[in-house]
Amino acid sequence: MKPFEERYTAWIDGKLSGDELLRFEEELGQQPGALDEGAEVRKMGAMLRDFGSMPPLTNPDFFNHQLLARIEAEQKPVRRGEGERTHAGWSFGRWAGLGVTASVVAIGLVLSGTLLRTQSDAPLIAAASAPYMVEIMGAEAPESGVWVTPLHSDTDDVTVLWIDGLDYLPASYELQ
Amino acid sequence: MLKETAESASPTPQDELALVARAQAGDTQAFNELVTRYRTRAYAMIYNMVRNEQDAWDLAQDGFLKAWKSIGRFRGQSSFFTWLYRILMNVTIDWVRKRQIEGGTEFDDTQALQSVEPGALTAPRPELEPAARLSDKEIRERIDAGIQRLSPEHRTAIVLREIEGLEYQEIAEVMDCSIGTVMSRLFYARKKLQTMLKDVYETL
Repeated sequence: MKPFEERYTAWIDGKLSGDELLRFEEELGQQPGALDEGAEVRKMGAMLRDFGSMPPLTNPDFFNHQLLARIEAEQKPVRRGEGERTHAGWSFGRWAGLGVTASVVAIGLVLSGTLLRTQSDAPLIAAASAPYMVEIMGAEAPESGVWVTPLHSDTDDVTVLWIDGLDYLPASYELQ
Repeated sequence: MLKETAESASPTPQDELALVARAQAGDTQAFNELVTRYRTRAYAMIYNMVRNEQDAWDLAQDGFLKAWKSIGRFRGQSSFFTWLYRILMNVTIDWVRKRQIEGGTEFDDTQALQSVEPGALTAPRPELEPAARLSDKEIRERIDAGIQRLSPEHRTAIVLREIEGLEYQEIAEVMDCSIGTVMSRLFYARKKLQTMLKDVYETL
């Protein structure tokens, strides 16, 4: 015979039938309040279902973008090791990566500067308080594992500089 | 096999297998399509475990990344979604366990088993008087707090059964255990939740 816990769970979930159901309810009926207790467990289950709903995944496209960026970053070290020449401890790919990163940061700075210069004071204040509007001054990437992606949304008129791989961003770099 | 609720319109198993095969060959775009199909449900499942949007986002990211790294080992013995669910659940359970250890609230299953006797059908009444009608927000907060006090295994079982609506067999596949173990975990998880939430559901 199955343990009591398994039969009770099956009973709560309506998985018992026929003789098995009759026998188990007879067994429960010998304990005062046991059948009512089952009804309570079912009521609790209904409450969990009613109130267990979750908020929707906001910005699902960004979810994919972020994941693909992480996959890309994961793949980078593998590619670097494939037969590349090294110089003074740094591979050619690493130097190239640093160069690309620096170029992207420079482009980001130019874009940010242009965007900010073309806006009036009021949008500047709004930009400063926006979570993604960060101007990086003189940023450098000591490791080639840092990736910067400038993103711009025409509809929202927002430019986002997505930086992946930095341990932290010094507070002095934030746009005041 | 788990019922799949994909975001895109009615994907066939053949479509999915083709995408998986392409992903296994290193095609990130194919994997991206798989992510798009299952991201909403994956996020929901994790959210129900951790009850925090940012943590759920991060864990879903980690889970999908781990799936990408492991996809070469997928042999098609279960559905892709069952396989993915198992990875996501393992990542989430590890996180929950780590949080409980760090927070000094590590769940002791032995203690739990002692406090709820299998034959004790009636859950102990809470010391609090039955509350006046609670707001929806208060009910959610109580449910969140109750679920967070369960061990990771009990939490997983109750979420997959009561909220996600999975069958015992499906839960067993995801949790990599027997159906009997799933039913036992459900029994104790329900008993514990009943103790904690009795005054809440009695007011409904």
